[in-house]
Amino acid sequence: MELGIKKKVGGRRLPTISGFLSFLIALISLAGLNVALLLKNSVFPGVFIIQLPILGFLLGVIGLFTRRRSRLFAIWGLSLCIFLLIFTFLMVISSLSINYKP
Amino acid sequence: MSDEKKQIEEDYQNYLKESLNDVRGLHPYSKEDQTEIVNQGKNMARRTNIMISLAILLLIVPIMTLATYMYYAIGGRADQLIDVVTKTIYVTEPNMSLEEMDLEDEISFFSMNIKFDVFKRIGKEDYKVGNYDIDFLLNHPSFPKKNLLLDRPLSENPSKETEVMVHPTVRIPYTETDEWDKLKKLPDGTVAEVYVSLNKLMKPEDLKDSLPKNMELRWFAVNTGMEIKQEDAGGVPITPLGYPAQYDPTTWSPFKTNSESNEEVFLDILKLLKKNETVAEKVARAKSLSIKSRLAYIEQHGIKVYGAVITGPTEELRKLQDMKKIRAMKVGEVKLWNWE
Repeated sequence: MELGIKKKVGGRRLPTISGFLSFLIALISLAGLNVALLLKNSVFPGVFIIQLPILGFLLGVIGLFTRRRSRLFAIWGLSLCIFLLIFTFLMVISSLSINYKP
Repeated sequence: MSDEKKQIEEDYQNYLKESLNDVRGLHPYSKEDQTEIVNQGKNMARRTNIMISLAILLLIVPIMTLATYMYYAIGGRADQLIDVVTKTIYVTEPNMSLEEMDLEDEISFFSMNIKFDVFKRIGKEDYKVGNYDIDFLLNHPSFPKKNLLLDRPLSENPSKETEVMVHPTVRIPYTETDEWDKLKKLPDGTVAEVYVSLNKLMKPEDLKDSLPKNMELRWFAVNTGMEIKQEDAGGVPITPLGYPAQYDPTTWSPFKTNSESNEEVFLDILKLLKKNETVAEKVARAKSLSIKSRLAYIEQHGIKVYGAVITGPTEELRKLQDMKKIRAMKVGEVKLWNWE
């Protein structure tokens, strides 16, 4: 009975595909960043901290524009991609201010 | 009244019928559909849980790293620690210098590691004599891991018996004649580094003027009022404080300055170390530097030296034995001829 009524009221609250992709990309970027940090790689892999987060950010923004579907993954993806971009920016600034050599 | 009641009863029955019709009009999900929806919901919840948990776990390392970088970057904390460490070497290790440009730093979780090479000028050349490896937990340094490649290193546990430069009123802790003999028995085609102790306290420029030519003053040991006792107020042994005697052309060296004399730079360094004495005491060989009282003494009495490090050709250094101002000498490092 309950399920029948639900069918009448509205569609299922599935997340947007772009939101899901955004979240997935953010997770891949975070995993890559973790590997780089734990291996103490002197050169950061740009794809994980710039290219992928930018792509994830755009997909996250697209994923926000929905009425019937859940924005949960889009919000997570967007937040993580913003964190990754801020992380990159702050790391560059702080690295330059620690024992800077011309 | 009864008509009204009847009407209400009819309305109620109609409403029930309508509601039943509405419910019957619905097309409820089949059993399979219901199972699919439940499974879909379960999968969705599982996927959401996994992804969010994964995100939180993967955020731990970047957040800790970022927090550490911000800690060391804000207010130039890392640079200040590096500055204190390098300047401590200049004023506590006789005739030792370093190249700050080549100093390497590595930041890990809530910690920083710095590595740098140290050099000694023996004759006309700077020789790499080892390296330092210092770990900081936030701003607390550990004792440095030193790897010194010296033939005659200074004691890592300084005491009155191991001191190489002593105050004019203090007993010489080694046999002077043995040291002069060592110098005499070294071949002429070599250059050496010697630690000399003076017969009386002198102004640095007077010592410079009185030395024979063809040798170079490298480092002055400054009288700071504690050299007679050779220990601080708490009885902990101290080591000499001093400064390089020459202009240092090395990039970023604090003694590469035309606007200030080496004496002024030395005092500036002591003022810096006074504010960061805990760090300086970890880096220096002596476990106590007592910078506050020693700086106050120097500011009151001026800079007077009781010892120095001199380098030059061995045959020239032998002439120091004839100088009345020199009370004792201890041989340091010896290298092949480079005095050209």
